[in-house]
Amino acid sequence: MKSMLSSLLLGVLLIAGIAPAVRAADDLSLIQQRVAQVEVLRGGFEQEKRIAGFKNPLRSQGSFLVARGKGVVWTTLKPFPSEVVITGDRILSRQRDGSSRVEVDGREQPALRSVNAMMFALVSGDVAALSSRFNTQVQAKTGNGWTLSLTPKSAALAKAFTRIVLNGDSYVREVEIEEANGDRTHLRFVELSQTPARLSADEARRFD
Amino acid sequence: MTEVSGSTTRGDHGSDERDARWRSRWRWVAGAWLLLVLAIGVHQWRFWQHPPIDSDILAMLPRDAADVLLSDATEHIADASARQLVVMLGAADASQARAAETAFRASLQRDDARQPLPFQASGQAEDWFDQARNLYAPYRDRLLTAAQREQLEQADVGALTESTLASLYGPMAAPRLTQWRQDPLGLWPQWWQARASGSGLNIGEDGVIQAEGRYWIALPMEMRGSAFRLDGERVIDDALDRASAAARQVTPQLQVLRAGVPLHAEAAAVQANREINTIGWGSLAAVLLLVFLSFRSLRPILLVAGSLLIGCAAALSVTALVFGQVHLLTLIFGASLVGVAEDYGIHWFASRQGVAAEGRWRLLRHLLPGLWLALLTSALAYLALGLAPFPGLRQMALFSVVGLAAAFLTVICWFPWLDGGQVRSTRFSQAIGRSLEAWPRLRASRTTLLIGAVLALVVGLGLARVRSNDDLRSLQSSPPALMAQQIEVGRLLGMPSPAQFFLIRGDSAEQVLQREEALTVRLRQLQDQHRIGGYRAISDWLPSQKQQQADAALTAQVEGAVLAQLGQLMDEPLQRADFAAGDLQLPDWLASPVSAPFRQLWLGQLGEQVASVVLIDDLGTPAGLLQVQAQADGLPGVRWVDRTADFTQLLRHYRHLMSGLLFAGALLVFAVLWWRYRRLAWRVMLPTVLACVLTVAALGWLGQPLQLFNVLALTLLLGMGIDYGIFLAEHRGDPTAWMAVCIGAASTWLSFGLLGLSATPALRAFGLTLLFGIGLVWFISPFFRPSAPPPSPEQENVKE
Repeated sequence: MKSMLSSLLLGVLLIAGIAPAVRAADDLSLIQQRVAQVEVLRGGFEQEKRIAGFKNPLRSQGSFLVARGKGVVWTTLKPFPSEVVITGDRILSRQRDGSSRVEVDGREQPALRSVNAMMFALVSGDVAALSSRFNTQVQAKTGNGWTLSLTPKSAALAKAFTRIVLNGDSYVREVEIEEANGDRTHLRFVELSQTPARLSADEARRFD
Repeated sequence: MTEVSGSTTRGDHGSDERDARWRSRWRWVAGAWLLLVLAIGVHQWRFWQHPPIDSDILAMLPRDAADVLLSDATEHIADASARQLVVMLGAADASQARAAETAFRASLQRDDARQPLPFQASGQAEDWFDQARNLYAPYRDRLLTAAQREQLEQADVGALTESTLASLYGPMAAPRLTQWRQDPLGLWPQWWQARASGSGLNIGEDGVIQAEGRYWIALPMEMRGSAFRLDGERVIDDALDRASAAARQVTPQLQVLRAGVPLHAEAAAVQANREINTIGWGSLAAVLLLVFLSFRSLRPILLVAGSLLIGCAAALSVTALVFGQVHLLTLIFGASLVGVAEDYGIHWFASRQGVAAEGRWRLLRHLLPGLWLALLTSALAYLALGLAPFPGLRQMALFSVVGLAAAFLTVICWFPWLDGGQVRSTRFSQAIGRSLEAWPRLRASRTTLLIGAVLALVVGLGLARVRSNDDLRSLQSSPPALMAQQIEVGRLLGMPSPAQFFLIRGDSAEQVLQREEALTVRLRQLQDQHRIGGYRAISDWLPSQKQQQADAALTAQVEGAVLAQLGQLMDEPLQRADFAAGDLQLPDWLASPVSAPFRQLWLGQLGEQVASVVLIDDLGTPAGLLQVQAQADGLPGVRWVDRTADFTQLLRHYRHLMSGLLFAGALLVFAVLWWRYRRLAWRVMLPTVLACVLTVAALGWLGQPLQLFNVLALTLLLGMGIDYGIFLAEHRGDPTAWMAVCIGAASTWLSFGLLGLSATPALRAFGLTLLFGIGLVWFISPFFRPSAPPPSPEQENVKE
């Protein structure tokens, strides 16, 4: 449960970032055609969260690294540095002092396995799996652009999200998440690059 | 079966006059019995409108008089599960499972529209979760998991602030069940997660359970009110079969699992229906065939069938009136009564052979003492079954005794009136009567000694191989496929055992909850070590007030400190949200629909004390069981209860007790026989004793375990088998007497033989024991018959 939002968020990112699945609904195939298929994607992000209880929006910046078959490293640099590593079987957070903590261990909490499985489906870019959970609405834009709007199919998922909207071209450029409790998150991706297509040794170590 | 000579005197002048006076008095007796039979008929008609038939095994077992609380607890848990069933649909992926579910539900709805089904889908878990969230939200600060408690107690406020910041600014914004302000540390979802994994409640994503490479959807259902009837029809099973077929059309690889008490009850009823038909109609057909072959006339068939019908109807009515309900096992056992109760009718017709119609009143008076004695011995044997305090056995005993008595009364009250014609002596009956001569009388010779030695060896080896088994499951007869599915569902959903649990007692609700918490600390360790699947405790959903207050203080202190630091770092003053002023109270919780799934765990006020139970999921191995059991050590008011073991202990206790009583009964019977036959007594007794020993040895050779029900069958064998010996001693060399023994033995043997086909292990044991026993007594008795036949003046007198 805890990882639901993050997995979705990252998964949505990864549909764009990593080669999508072959099978998909007709409208989704438009996105599949336009999105670049990559092994590794690096980039920066700018995030703005509006959370009830805070007068001001919470703004942060950082970078991310996505590798097919490995997972995701999400590094927040400003204003408070931290790092989250998501792999197939766990979610790990690293603090500023270098200490790390396993937030979710798929092996120890079997109940979370289904959440992890969903995340995994998303990480592998299984659009069919995504459309099994969300009602999708695709809008083609001029040039290479598109908008994908997702609303939960199940009541359980609707307890967490109202709507997720993606904007992109050959990459996902913007994500807007509306949570059921009214909180909103807006993400913008910048400086995206898919080369070099292989992880450096240093990058690979960050997944461990 | 036992016949004691009557007291008519030869050539009495007042005989005809006395006969007439006796007959007019007998008219009143017959009339009174007619009224009673009519009353039984009316009761039967009403009984079958809505038969109160019970199929619960526990109903057959004794209630612990010593510990009413235990029985209450068991009943409480059993009642809660008695109406619930669950179907699980497993598919290769979640969407296929969903599609199968839709087809499954649609099929049930179609069926329901055609003819209302006796069950319906239970309330949706999603509604429940919303209600539960609203109930608990004001008390969020008072609800912590054990791990959270430990974590917060050792908390470094700086580190907590750090990770809170990380989650606020990073992508790890876990979906919150409340506003951020109400749960800044994200404790609440973990609490729910712990509830979900600990209680077998699936509040995970979309209700799809992933296990063993499949995606499962569980469909909980419950029986509707009083519409549920156990009439031997496959209503639930058929509806689920159709729904499964419909679901398989959508999802061909679908795996369907079913579990629940109503399914077992229905299976038991269907099976009982079949067995009652086999045993009841089978025995009846056999008895009537024997009657026809012996007397070649319609009247005996109709009259014997009538006496059996009245016997069974009376037995059913009286049992229903005394016990309120009739158990299925009683009905199956009762079906074998046909083969015993026919004796009186056959006895009558066997004696009527060659007696003129005018002599039948004198014949009745002549037969009465013998028939009474026969009824008494059989009734006593059946009543001995009722010595064990098992309601089930008492039902069977009452059923049998009433059935015998009613058949007996029908014979003596009505047969002389209705049987006015001639009863022929057929070649068949003569041939059977003469067959006695085929048996050599046993003499002390070298051959006899040799046979005896061989037999002793075979018996000795057989007895050495006898193993006892007192498992409660001998009463259980569910189809193996259904049992396998039940176990599988139990494993997937983590269903607890209803017969093994912890019982927690205290002076107040608060004390009970505190004692539970002391226990669950230990149980969580076992759970972490994977010794048990989980546990279900009410204190998990309603912590003691002491715990609630401690947790509220802890969260107030830590969250307050973190919020203060966060406020400074983010340059924004952050206020902690308000929570409920007091604790979540037991009455409020019990009154809420949210507590419905767990209310069965709360026994409430029982006498002076308050009590609850803690159930364990997936107990695992017997060694693991011992370890679980040990968790109650040193905890006041906490006790491990193992009803299965208790009942096994009980069955063993009564097996020993009844064995002792059987021995005492045999000595008593021998004393009576000695009183009447003196030096011939051993000839009457020995065949039955030999048959008992040989039967037990045969069980050993066949690898059948010895259990209470075998011993009870031997008790019955003693009561019925001795009769054959008595009969041969009383009417030495009389072919009609031997014929009556043969036909009686054949029908009894057949009835119990058919009972030996039952799928219920206990009844099968009963049937098998008597199948061997009756056959052996019948075969052995003639060898030991006394030699010189003394003159039989009474017989001559009647056949004048």
